[in-house]
Amino acid sequence: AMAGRGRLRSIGCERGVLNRADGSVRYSQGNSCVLVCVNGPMRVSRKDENIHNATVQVFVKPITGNEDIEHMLMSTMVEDCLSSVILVKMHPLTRIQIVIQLLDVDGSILSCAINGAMMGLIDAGIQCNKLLAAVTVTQLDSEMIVDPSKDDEKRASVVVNLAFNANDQQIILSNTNGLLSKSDYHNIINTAQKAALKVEKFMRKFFESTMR
Amino acid sequence: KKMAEAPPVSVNEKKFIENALRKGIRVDGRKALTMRKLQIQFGRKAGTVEVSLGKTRVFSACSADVVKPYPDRPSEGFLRLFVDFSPMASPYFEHNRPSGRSVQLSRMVQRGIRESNAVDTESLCILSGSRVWEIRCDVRVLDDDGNLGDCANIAAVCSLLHFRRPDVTVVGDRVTLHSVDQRQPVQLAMHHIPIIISFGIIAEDESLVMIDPNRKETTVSTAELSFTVNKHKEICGIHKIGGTPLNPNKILKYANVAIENATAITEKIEKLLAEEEKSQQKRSRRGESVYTNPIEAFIDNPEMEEEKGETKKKMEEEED
Repeated sequence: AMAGRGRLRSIGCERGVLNRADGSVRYSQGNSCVLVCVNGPMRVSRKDENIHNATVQVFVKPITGNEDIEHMLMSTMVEDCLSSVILVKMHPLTRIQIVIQLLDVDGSILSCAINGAMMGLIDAGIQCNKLLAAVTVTQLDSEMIVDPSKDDEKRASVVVNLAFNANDQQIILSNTNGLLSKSDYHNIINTAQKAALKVEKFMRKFFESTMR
Repeated sequence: KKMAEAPPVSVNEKKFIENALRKGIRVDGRKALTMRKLQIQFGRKAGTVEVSLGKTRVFSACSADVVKPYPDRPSEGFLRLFVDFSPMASPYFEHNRPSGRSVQLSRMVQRGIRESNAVDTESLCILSGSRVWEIRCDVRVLDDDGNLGDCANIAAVCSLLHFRRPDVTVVGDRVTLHSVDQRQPVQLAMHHIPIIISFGIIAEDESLVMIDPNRKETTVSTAELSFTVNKHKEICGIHKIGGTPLNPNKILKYANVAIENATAITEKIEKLLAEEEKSQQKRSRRGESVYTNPIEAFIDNPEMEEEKGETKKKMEEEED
């Protein structure tokens, strides 16, 4: 059996990677790596426009092959999360486009995508009302692994994706796969909250040190 | 050029680019026939690579699958190449809706590699008439600063050269695919390395030719010329579609320039691949994982593999 691991893998980040994008970030957690591009507020087509709010559009692009249902699901989840974080009322009749290109998938890809997108939004200078920090936790028997790798996720009996508002630790996204008891879920949330604080700390430190 | 596909360039900028080119220099300081800096970065997974030509950036990845061959070509495998113009690269690219120009570029890259038989498709045969490899290469454009064709092609070619497919054993009708933990995966057999070199031409004065045009230079050119060539001085394709007419002698002259540059690029690619090979060996000696399985289904479980071997045999028997 694998020893439980309560620590995040090493986080890497590079901003301003793309020249044409308003904001771009290459973000990695362990070996999982994404390239996020944020553009906006930009022009929106008639069918997507909203007279009250900006339209948030997220595209998750796989490494190989055409977009699969899992990528479309990831897009929808990231879109819904970020729509509650971005100050959409400030830019009605526009859209904010977020493209997430997966570069390497080694577990925790949803939280990697959400964190990367959050950092991309900050790089693009799009106003948000909260800082989002996402963490994936798996459990096998009674051992919890935070920020699991692909092998860890395969072996696990349950995989939980959580995203928190970094300010007040409230849950914005909770997505579980597999059976778990109420107390297990409670423990997972506690562990994830602690890890999310570390993610938030990294984000703040990164942007403070790379202020132009 | 359609407004919808290219950002407008002001008259001042256009005149400035032309005047500079008349003096033999480009706005970014290059000479008329100097290419931008080429950078190639291989990823952890075999077949993944990021290539940048100046500010233009492209990502490419390969995958492999086992399929049935066409009945009239029972010993040939498949090479599928897709170039995706992500909305990340330019606000003029729409998600999953390639423009006419995008389709042209992607066909140019596809045809340069497939029709020139760069990859030996017969070496992709596993069991004639029933099982062959289908290699899929996905090129994703990340940042558009002109000359996407060249960049996408280099990325595709590097990706195919870097890629490793699982090793296969065939005993009679029984096929066993080995996971990367069991047996070292295998390189693809490539006959040659086709490289695309593109030129932008401002044809008011035909001597205004620039190699590897960036986005603004492309908008300002009145004709575009691309060559798919290799270091053996073979021409795999010439593309000049519309635009102002060109003298055929000029076209052949630039074919030679293209071949020179293609040779230099090929040498650089081969050198970087050799370096990457060395650092991979170092990593494997240190016990770090070097490859990840290109096929997700064939990992870990040896029991699953035997089962798969048996299911394959059953499928073959049923087909008979």
